[in-house]
Amino acid sequence: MVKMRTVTLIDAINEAMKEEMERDERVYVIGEDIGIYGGVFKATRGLQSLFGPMRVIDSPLSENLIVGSSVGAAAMGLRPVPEIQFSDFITPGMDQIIQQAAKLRYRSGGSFSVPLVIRVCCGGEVGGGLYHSQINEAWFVHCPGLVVIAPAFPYDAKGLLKAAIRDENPCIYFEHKKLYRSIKQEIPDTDFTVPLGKAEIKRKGKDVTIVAYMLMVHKSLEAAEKLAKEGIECEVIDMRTLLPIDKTTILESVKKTGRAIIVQEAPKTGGVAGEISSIITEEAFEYLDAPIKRVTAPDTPPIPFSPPLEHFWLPNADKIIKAVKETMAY
Amino acid sequence: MPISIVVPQLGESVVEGTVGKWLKKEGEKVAKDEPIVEIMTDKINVEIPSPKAGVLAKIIVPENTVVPIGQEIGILAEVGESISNISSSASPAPAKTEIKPQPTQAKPEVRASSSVAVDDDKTDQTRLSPAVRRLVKEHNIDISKINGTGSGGRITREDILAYLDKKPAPSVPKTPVATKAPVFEPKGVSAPISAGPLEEVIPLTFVRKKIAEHMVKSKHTASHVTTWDEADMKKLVEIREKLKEPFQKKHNLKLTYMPFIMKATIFALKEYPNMNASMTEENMIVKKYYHLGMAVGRDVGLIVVVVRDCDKKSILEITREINELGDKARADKLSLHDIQGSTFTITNAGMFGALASTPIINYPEVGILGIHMIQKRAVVVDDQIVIRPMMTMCLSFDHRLIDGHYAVQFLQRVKYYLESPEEWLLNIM
Amino acid sequence: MPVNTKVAGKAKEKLAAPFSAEEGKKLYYYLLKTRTVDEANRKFFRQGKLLGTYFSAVGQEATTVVPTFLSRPTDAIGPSHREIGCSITRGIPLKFMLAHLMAKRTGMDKGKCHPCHYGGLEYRIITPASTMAAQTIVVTGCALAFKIRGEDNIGLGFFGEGATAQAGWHEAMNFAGVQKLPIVYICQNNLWAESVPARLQAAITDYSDRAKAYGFPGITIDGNDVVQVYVTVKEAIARARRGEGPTMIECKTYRWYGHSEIDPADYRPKDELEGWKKKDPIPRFEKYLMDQGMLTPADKTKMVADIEKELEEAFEFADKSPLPAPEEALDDVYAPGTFEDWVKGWLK
Repeated sequence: MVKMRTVTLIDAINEAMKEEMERDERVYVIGEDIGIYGGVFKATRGLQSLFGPMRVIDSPLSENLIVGSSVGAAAMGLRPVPEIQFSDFITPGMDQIIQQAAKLRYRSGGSFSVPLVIRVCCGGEVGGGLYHSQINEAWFVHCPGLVVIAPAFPYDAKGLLKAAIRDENPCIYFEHKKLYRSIKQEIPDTDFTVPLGKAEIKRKGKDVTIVAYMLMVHKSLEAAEKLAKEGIECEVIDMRTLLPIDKTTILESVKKTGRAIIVQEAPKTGGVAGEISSIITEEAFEYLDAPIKRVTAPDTPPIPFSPPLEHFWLPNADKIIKAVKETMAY
Repeated sequence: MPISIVVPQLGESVVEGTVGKWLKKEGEKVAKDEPIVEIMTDKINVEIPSPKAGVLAKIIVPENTVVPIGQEIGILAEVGESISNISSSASPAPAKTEIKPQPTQAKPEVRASSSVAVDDDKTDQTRLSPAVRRLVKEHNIDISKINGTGSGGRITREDILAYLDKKPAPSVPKTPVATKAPVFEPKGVSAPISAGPLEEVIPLTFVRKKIAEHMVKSKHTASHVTTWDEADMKKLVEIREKLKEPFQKKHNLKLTYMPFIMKATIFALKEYPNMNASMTEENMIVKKYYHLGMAVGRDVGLIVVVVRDCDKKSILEITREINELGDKARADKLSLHDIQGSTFTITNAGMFGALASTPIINYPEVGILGIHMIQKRAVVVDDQIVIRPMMTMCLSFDHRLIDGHYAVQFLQRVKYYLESPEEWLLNIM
Repeated sequence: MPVNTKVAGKAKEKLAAPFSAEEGKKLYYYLLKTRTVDEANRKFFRQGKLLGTYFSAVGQEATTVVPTFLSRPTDAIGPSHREIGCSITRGIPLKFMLAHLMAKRTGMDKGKCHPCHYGGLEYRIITPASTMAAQTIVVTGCALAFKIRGEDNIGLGFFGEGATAQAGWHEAMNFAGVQKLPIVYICQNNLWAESVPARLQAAITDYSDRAKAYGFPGITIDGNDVVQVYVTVKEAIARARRGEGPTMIECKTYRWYGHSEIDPADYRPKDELEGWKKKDPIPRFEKYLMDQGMLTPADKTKMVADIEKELEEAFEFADKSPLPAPEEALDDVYAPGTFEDWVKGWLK
């Protein structure tokens, strides 16, 4: 009988790191405020007292170095898990992520491996304003060589982080701060992983496919619940990995429902939703009974601070419901 | 100033009704609040009182027509007023709910609150989506045969699939209107049915369709399991034999077993409260009141009447109420109040001679108790074979909420109370 | 080693050599080989045999060959684009290096990367990217790995003076100082970052001054004095292995040719080059070794012949090697056995 425990998303992440560090001495974590303080969101709470300051390293205020030193350490056979405290601060580290981590294997003709996992705290609806709300996932989905991970539930968060740490590719792992403590789920007390690159249908339905990730999965499920009372059955797909995209799951669903809505917590232009919309049009055109819709934020920097501005900006269940109904009415 | 007579909102989830009987003729005088027309919804008839005194100037929607809530069905004018300059809003096609050859006439029922005037014969065969084109090609369909139910008459994928399945046009609403979960599609009409020489086509009545819908919904929602037990009715039989004549004489009412069974059930429900509950996706709602539903057969079809606050009523009061409700049911005079709100239902298949059955739960309750014929049987009591009047009880329960052991134990308590009436009779007589 | 001592350029010929004859000869061999190959590559480029571009390091050989010579094969090297000396001294076969320059499938990178980005895991040379100082950060990470693992391997970071203006460079130095990492940073100050003179790159003249800001010793030396480079780097490596932390060694040197072969370097004053050519490290070292009796003309002749032969064979190999097949562009994006369908889906 497998023991089950209820955990929050952040517990799941903390546990995943702890278990992987116990399991494999090559795994270490580095970042700002992660050691003594346990992380500004307490994601690395308790780790330094367990594993010491050489495996839980408090780094200087240097995102470029946090990522870059991890590239070098990974090249030498360690398995670093560097943390970027807020996705809003990832830009100083871009050179090392995009030019080094993502490309070292390719440019060395397969000689080097960079098995690191960059954990990035991201996301809005927390009143974080312009610099504590960004996700910026599109920059990384556009970077071949990276694996971009975005869980919405604690079970997936734990399983995906473990899988990413064990994977040989450079992974960038997004953690939505709104979900850290607001989502609880029962998880088994076993050593489980969740496969990278696989989406999951979180709610089955026959009328319309909704594709989403992270917080937007929960908004979609909320919308689906309300729509079900009106007789509209939505199939909600949780992408879980943003790169590579699990085309199979998405296409199968759209072929069944004939309608697709993609939700992204990011400005509309140049986002992941556009990519998925293109994939559906290219590969399931003849199954579409209505144009594909995207529910996104407007094309402004993410996210303005004042509450009415933030509310206007963010996609939510009502906006998803409206999009579904418009699609159904086509 | 002429005013419209419209179909009012009749219950939260109700979206339509059928014009039953016009109680006044065109041109006839009507007093204020006098019933002017009868609307049928679900299982009951509701009489619409006239909003003011005047004359029923025009009947717009004839009898036996399905109309959405809010639809204008007639015009009331003042005495002597002319209504020639009145134009009515979009009138639904005069379709009967029986099977008719033309499928297009079913469409107005779908657009409950749409303001778009629908021209039923206009199907847009130009806006074909990729999915539709593919299906048309794959199945070699002549699209001129397809009725488009999409916006602007667009032929949708569902229209093609429905055509392929030879089912009626789907009732998925294209406008934001609340509908029931699509387990049964009573609306709309299908392609004409051809009867063979040894077959008779009998159109389904409104009530029968509603019953069918209700049954299927229950079966498709709840996880039905039926467990049974039998009660030794010896003591109750003796009591009833003793009391039935004085009772009849004093109250002019027949004393049946039903009130006793209801009482026994309530005692058991108090001990097993989850049986007196209903389920939503996230919650269980346990009722602290006891409105027992009782299935009543009628020629037109089955209905469940409700005896409210059964726990607070005496055997006499329950008997009275059961009788009243039964009369009303047979005369088709039940109100919504009479048939709504039951928390647990009892169905008596025994009056027709059944020994056992597997009753269908009265949605959205979680249990239904089927009682049956009391029959003298040979049973073993204290290692002796004796003759006892036994009654089989079959309890169907919703296994999503109620586990087997809970249901079995509940039924055992019903049995106990039926077999030991002396425990509780004195409290309530 | 005294901190921040500025030692003047002359090799101490009269003192005993800090290495054995065997070592000295070997060191000379690598220096000569680097020079020979570099000049040959320049010729090949002008003959149209090489693709893309070529970055010659002629004149700077001592700054790369010597530290690599002093390192172990398990030490990590973080080069940029002018460290051909590191690759040759570490022993990357010439044939693969030339194949790389010709963008052939047989190059270490299988034709994927920009010319002069030699490297490979087995040589522990981080295949460079073109962003300056990027490998400085990466090799700092290698040193971190060694420290975490408790291994006494070290990192060698190579960069020009221009790279020290990059933010990332400072982050690497800073972190190395904080964590006392086992690393030696070698700055080749050749006075020109492409066309930008050093005085526009920094307000200071001796870049080794920067090390002090990060809490570890910095020293400026004559980068064309092989012996001085040898002695200084050897001590710095020993320091690192002892766990005493990083050292920055600024080697004053000069590149003879343009930033790349298509750059005539007209921005430099003519007499500056002439002055530096007189300080050519290789003839100076040759003289030193011969004076020490460690090298004979016959040794040199043999070395030259061996190098020429190897070069000829390498060229032959590279020239005859195939270019990669077009679909090989889709290889090596992800680790083998992962997500290949995703990338190869392009072919459908």
